Amino acid sequence: MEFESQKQGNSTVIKVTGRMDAVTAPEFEEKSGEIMEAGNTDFIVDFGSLEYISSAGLRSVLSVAKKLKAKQGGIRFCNLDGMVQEVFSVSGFSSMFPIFDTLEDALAEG
Amino acid sequence: MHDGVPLCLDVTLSNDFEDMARCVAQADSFLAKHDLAPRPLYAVRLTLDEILSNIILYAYLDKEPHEIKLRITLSDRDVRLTFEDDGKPFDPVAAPAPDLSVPMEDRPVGGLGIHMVRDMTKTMRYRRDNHCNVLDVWVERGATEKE
Repeated sequence: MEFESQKQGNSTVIKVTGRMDAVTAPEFEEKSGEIMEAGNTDFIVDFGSLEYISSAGLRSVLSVAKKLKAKQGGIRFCNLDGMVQEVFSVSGFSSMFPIFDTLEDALAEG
Repeated sequence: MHDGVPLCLDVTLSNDFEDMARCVAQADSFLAKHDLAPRPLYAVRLTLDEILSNIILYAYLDKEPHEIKLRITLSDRDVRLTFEDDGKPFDPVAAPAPDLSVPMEDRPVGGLGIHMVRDMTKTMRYRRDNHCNVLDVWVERGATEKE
């Protein structure tokens, strides 16, 4: 898994590449935690290059979302594709979080 | 099917995540020899991840090493995954589905794995056999929708 983050306006755009499973998901939580500690609580997660996510990956997404909410922040997603989109739908995550087709759309919402 | 490409893989692993990673890598290279479409390949990988980590995390009441057996069998129509463990009885087919309508802040962090596997595979069959849990999971190779 690769984790890139970039500040865009008031939002932090996080791009995740590769696989989010039991092995790599803790890294997502850890790095997201560092961004929150720096005072950024408006997350846009770009999953366009995410190849695979298991329930362990979803758990870490949920855990980050709960922490952001506790800080009056939020999380939204963009570029969900193919199987990742299906996993989001099967797990109910699609109806729990704002999801946008493109990064531009997600940024416009901020 | 191509000549000389094995249609069945047997792997035995012990109940730790390092050995699980080795087993999944072995399964990956076996699956790579067969032309699986992205959807069945994803479903097989997800089933391996979710079922094996469930067994490792929850099946055992002691801290001893245990043997988990995995068999992957390919036919033209489907991929069959058979898991066998000597942990406490657990029937994932009968496990209650999580309530997906619960708002985010009240969602328990977990409980999704089995639900996702049930949704993305064609059939799951469980039996308790000689003090072992035996779970068969079938993933359809061709069709894109669950039956």
